[in-house]
Order: sequence, then structure tokens, then C-alpha cells
Amino acid sequence: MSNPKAVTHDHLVDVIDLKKVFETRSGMLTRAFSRDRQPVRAVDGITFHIDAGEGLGLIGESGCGKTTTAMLLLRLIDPTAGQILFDGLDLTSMNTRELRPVRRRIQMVFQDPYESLNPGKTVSSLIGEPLVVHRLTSGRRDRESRIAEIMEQIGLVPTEEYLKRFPHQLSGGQRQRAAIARALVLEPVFLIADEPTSMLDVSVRAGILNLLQGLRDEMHLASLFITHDLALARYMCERIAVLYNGKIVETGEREELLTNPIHPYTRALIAVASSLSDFWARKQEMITELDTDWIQLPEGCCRFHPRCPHEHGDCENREPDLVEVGPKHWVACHRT
Amino acid sequence: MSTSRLREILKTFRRNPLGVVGVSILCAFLFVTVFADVISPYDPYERVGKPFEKPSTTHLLGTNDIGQDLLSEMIHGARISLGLGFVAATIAMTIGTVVGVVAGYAGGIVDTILMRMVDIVLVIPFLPLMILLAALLGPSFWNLVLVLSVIIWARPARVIRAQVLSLKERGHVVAARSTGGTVAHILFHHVIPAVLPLSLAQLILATRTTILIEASLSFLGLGDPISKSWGTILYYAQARSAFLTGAWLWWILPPGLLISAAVLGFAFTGYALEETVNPRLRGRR
Amino acid sequence: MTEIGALLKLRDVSTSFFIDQGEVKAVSDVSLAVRRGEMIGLVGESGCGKTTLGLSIMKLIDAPGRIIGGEIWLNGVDLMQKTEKEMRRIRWKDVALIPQSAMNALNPVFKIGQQIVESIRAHERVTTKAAWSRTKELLDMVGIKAERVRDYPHEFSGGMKQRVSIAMALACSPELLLSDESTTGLDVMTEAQVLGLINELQSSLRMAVILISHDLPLVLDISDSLAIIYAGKLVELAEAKGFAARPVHPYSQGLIHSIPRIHGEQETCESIPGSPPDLIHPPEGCKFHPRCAFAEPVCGEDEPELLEQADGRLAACHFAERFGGRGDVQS
Repeated sequence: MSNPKAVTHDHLVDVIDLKKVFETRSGMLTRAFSRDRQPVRAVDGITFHIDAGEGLGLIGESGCGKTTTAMLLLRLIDPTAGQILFDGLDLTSMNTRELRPVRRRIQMVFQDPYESLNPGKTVSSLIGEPLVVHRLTSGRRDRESRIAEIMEQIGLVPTEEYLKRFPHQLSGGQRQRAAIARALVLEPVFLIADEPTSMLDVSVRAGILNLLQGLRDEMHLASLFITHDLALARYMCERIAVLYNGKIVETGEREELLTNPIHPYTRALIAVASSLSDFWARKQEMITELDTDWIQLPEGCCRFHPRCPHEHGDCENREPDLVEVGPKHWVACHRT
Repeated sequence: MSTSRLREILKTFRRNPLGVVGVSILCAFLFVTVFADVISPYDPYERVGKPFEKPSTTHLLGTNDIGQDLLSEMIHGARISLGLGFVAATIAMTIGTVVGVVAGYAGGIVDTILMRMVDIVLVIPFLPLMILLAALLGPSFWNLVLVLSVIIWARPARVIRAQVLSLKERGHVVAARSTGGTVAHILFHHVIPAVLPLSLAQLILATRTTILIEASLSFLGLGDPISKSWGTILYYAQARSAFLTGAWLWWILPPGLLISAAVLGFAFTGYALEETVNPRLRGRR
Repeated sequence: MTEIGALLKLRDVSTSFFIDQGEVKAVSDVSLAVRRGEMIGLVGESGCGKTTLGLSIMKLIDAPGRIIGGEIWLNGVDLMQKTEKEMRRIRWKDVALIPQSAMNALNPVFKIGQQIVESIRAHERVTTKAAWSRTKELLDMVGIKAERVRDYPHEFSGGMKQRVSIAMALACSPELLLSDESTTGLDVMTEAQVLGLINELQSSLRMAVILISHDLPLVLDISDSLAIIYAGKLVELAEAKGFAARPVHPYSQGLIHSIPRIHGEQETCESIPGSPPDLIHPPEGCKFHPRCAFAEPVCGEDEPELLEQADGRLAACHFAERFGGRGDVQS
């Protein structure tokens, strides 16, 4: 495969042909009587890399495998195949014990701050928890000063007012700030953010985005920003990768990708986000079937072909590989 | 568990009239149990009157076949009945919680094995088994405790496992795993504190069951004949044909009512508590 | 924006919820007019009262909530004077709602055709046969093949279920359609399709549509006019076209500045400081003043009225002219 996996070790994160297949667990009876017992190929051979300090936006619709990818990177679930190299270490071959020191350096901010914070713990114990887990501070006083420091950094000030509060006593934006503090108190080098603003009110979203941007610069963080919103990805990331049905279909630098999209799916996504009325007018040439369930297609065909407006014989027989079409711009489409 | 959550639970609990009744009954029993020596007019093991005496001002509930004061017997019986039930339920709940948490969190083969064990315990007809066990081990306080806990732990284990299964997928537990927390850390900081209120509710419901079973076993003569629980009192009453004479009114009815009251108290409290800690049940009223 | 010939006219509608802690003033004194064939976007943050306003229009407020004042004129009839029994005839027939998470509103144990037929027959005296053929037409209109009328809801994807609920909402050809975040949670492509469908039907049937949403760019993109609601009050009512370039009310400005753009110059987004007010004890004066960067003492004392500005839009701000509202009179 001529993928952008020309593995050089200046990448901080290298994901190579990563796959995750969920076997639908079923009993004997279901197995005997049910028609659809196909395994779900949630992530089906994706390859990408992130440099130190770089932000990559992973774009896709729900069910395309975005969140599964994040879970795989954190090894919260085990991959079916493929490799995850982090700073030269192969995470896929490590056991839980070996992973612990690595986990300190990879942190995640989850989508729903109402869910991701234990409702029974105070802000100070929530932020202090990672420090305790990794035994990073010597004694209580040290820990408290570290907690106060990070709270100031993420803008939960005055700190003494928030230290003893419980999550339900915080607004959505404040909760997400606490969740970010939890992630960053370990001083990671790689941050995964899974739709960190989608549960928040519009008026506080920008604050969280700017905070994340500022912290990235300050801490020289590499980040994977998962979202369904192209405008957000543009705001947050230098590069964008478009995920469709478990496959990366196009990746490139943000302005290049947004102004010069090549894959029909990327083009449709951008058209929808730019102007719906224009999209409706040109719908026929963008995408045929707008609304599909995630069809489990047989292996060895282009994932997008049932919705693709262009006819091409090969799309049903051969899966397109990512091909370099410009500097850092890769597309997986037979028509390129 | 945090104080704020505790306060919230208390608040919801107080709004539940059934729970308030249950707790009141339990408090009354607790009082009697603790101050049994002070309240009871006589030593229940002393012969203080003539045999088969009818109720009078000196012996409010009369005397038994060997002239011991029945009221004092019943007051002291509360200690044995409730104490034994509670100890057995506590042991059972500890087993149940551990099994539930381990099965739920570990999943896979561990889960399968533990749950098959639970199934086996649940399908065994428990009365014959207990009679067998009690007969084999011989009647004593601790043997009864052992027999009861062996039978009781399975149902709570199921309930707790279900809770842990859903808890495992909850955002904050996943988040804690992502920060690199060890299994022990996650269990002790995130899983167990969250299932404890449920365990407590289950404990109270289990106590209800153990009290009832203890009474049945003792009534059948499989309890400890030396220590006088309510069930034992009934056993002696039956053996001395109290059912056939007018004595049932003061010898059989009172312990029967006491057992019913205790069972109701525990049931009301347990259900109210379960409803309070399990929001899914709360809406159903 | 004129009230003459408007299909729906709201005058000073207020709705409150009476809970243990006090009165939650979810909607206060909202006046609004919607013409036939117009699509108006009702935009605000969660908890601002936009859903309550939508439900108030249909008089679907349940205890502990109550519409405490105002008039709701639909087609020259004041709905406030109607009994619940009369309202039941008006709902679906004259005004229909596609609720939030409409896809869960379908009953899983009935075939979708049956559900639509029943809602038609509940409102109109038609034969079962006529209702079935109408159902097939409706499904065809929303792009679902007629042979699928005998399928159960679980056999459809999320977007298709959403289209079924639109078909159901349209079953009695309502004159006014309320869509309450009906596409939130759908994939962008599906959302585009569902909204496209609503838009198409709106122009072909000359329906009035109220699009309740938190997604300002989306509403700006597809609706004719726009009502911005904050803490239960309308703060700005304007044409959607060109709004992004010139929002008048500071809250509208804040919303516009908080959204990243997909094309053109990338500006730094700003969030609005603070959080929405407690609706039991709302701030005195302008409800937005504690979060407003331009607030002056008067804002904490007098509540600004929703006044017409030079370019025809309405804004409720003491200093509207400063932000290009009335000041335009001179230029």
C-alpha cells in the first residue's frame, strides 16, 4: 500500500492500518435464526500520523468510526489489527502494566462533561485523581498547589470558590474546563478531544475552543480533534482527515482541503456546511443517496460507491488506496 | 460516598411515606434490642411463675410450660431473631457485592462462571437444602448464620452485577481508565462507592428474608434450642399444643405479629431505599 | 415583519412554570407574526424558552406550566379562547409539530402506515381507503417508497424515521409547521435532506414554518427571518439575509462572533462571558446586561422594549442605534 505511512520517526503518533471489528455477540438461538450477524468493521484500516505540536482534525458523521479510533488510540479497546506507534513505542503490543506510563502522556477530553466527571467527587479531587493515580506529587500540599495552578491555567478562578464544588454545581462550560484540567494536569504531549464542545451552549463554545488552542501552543501539545463540524476543524487544526465508514477518504492541510476537495464525499460535506440552499440546488451532482444506514459492504469495494454520483466500474470491485495528489494531500478515489 | 449525594438521598427518602413507616418500625425494634435487659420485667431464662399461667398484671403475656415470663422471652427474642438475621444478611451481602462487582467488572469467562454459580444457588429449592444443612451441621447460632448466608447472596449479586455493568460504560469510569488508573483504583474510587447505596438497600431486603427463614427453621426445630428467638418460642408453643388451647392468644399471636412487623419494617425501608438510590425505579410511582 | 395578513400573530404571550422553588418565567411577553409561506427561525441557547414558546403556540403546556397571558391568533382565531377539546381539532389540522427526537415519537409496535392513517382519521371524516391512499402520497412526498407503509419503525434508519414523522405532521396539510430541533442529532447529510424537504414543501404548499434551533448559521442559511430569544424574551427580530454582517443586539453580536467560519477570513471566536440567568430570579432591567460588554447603569434599571429600527428590524436594546440600528436613520 502506498499510504502516507512512510514511517519516519519524527512523527509523534503513527497509526498504521488500524482495524477494529466488533463481533456481534449472540447466543446460540440468535445465531441459528438471525439473518444479520455480520461483524461490524467500525475502523477498517486507517493510517495517519501526527507530529509533535500538530493538530489533526478527524471529520466524519456519527457511526463512521471517529470515537472508536479515539478509544483505540488510548487502548481503551483492543485493536483487531494494525499498529499504533507513539513516540517510537508500539502501543498495540503493550500490556496494561506497560501502558500505564504511556497513558500519562496521552490524554483525552470527552464529549459529554456531564458524563465524564464522577458526580460524587469535588473539583479538587477530580483534578487531583490523575496525580494520585500516577503518584506524581509528593504529599497533599504539593498536590493542592498543583491543582490550584492548573485551575488558574484553565480559568476556573477564583480557585478556592470552585475547589470544593461538585460537578452538578458547575455550568456546562465550567465542567468541560474541569475535564480539560484533569487531562492536562498530567502534562501530556498528545491530547485527544472528542467533540469537546458539542454538548455545550453556543455562547460558551468559543471559550473552550480558545482555551484548548492556547494550551496547545503553551504546552506544545499534539492533538487529535474529533468533530462532525468542518468549521470547527478548520478553527482548531492544521490538517484535516475525512473519515467515511471506517476509512480515511481524504486528508490534507486545512485550507487546501477546504478549497480544493477532491473526494466526492468531502465535496458534499463542504457544500452542506457552506450553504444549504446552494447544496439543495446542486444536490444531484454531489451525492445520490443522502440517507443510508451504514451499509456493511463486502470487502474490496469503495465504501462510498452506493452514494457516489459518478459512475465508475472499478469502484465496486477494487478498494481505492490513498494516493498523494498534492503536497500532504491524499485522496482515496479511483477517479483521481 | 459524598456528603452531598447522601443528603440528596436522605431528602428523597424522607418524601417516601412507606420508607418513613419502615424506618420508624426498625427504630422501635432497635430500641428494644439494645435495652432488652432494662425493659424486660424478668430474666427470660429464670422460672418466675407457675407453668401455663394466663396473662395477668404480674405476667403481661403469661408464662410458658416451665414458668418463664413470655413477654421477657419475646423482648430478648428480638435480639436473637434480628441479630442473627442481620449478621447473616451482612455476610451474604458482602459475598454478593464482591461477586457482583468482580463478575460485572471483569466480564468474560469470570463473569460466566460466577453467574452460573448464582444460577445454581437460585434454582436450588432452598427449604429442603436448609433443612439438610441445618440437620447435618447441627443447630447452633453460627451454623444458622452460615446456612442463611449461603442461600441469600445470589440475588443481590445479580442486582449488583447489573449495576456494575452499566457503571462500567459510564463516561466517568471510562475517563478514569483513560487517565491510566489501575483496576483497583477504579473499583475503589468509582465503582464500589457507586454501588454501596444499592448494596445497603439490598442488605435491608436480605435481612427481611433471613429473619423470615430463621423463624421458619427454628419453628421446625432446626434452630438453636438454647437461644430463644421468636421462631424458637413458636416451636415450643407448638410442641406444648398451644394451638389447641386458648394459650395461642398470648403465646403464638405475639411472636407472629413481631415477626410480621419486623419483616414489614425491613421491607418498607428496603424498597424505599432501593427506589431512592435507583432513579429508574423512582419514576414508576 | 408586518402583522397585516399574518397567519400567526402572538401578542404578549407569557408562559411560566410554577415549581417548588418559585415561578420560572420561561417565556415573557413575546409578540411575533408569521406570514404564509414564511420560514422564521427561532434561535436561542438551551433553556432560553424557545421550546416552551413553540409548545405555547399549540397550547401544549402541561402542569406545572401555564400560559399566563397574551393572545395567540391563528388565521384570525384567538387560540387562547379555545377549549382543550377544540384545540385537539386544531392541532395537526391547522398547526403541526415535529418534535425534538421525532424519530422516537413513532410507536414501535404499529406499522408506520397505520400510524399515519390513524392520525388522519382522528381529524377528518374520511374512509380508511382514502386515508391509506393519502398516506402513500405523503410518504412519496417525503421520499419513502409507498410499499414501505407496512414496515415497522425499527426497519427504517434515523433519517427515514424523521421523514416519516414529517409526513405524519403534514398528514392534514397544516398551515403552520413547527419544527423543534427536529434535525438535531442527525448526520449532516441527513439533516440537509430533511431540511431541504421542509423547505420544498413550505414553498409548494405555502406553509408557514417556525424553525426552532440553537444552530444560528443553519437558520441564517435557510430561513427568511430570524427571532433571537434570550431568557424568555425576544431580543432581536430581523431578516435572515445579511444578518451575520450586522447583528444589532449585543447578544446577537455575541452569538455571531462565537461561531467559527468555514470559508473566508478566520477570525478569533469569542464566547459570551457568564451564563444564562436564573429564570426564577431574573436580573432587573435588561436581562442580558450582566453579560453585556456595553452595559451602562440604565440597563440594570429599565427593561428595553422591542422597538422597530431604521432598517425595519426590531431590537430590544437601549443602545440599538450605536450598533447600527436606529443610527441608520441619518446615514
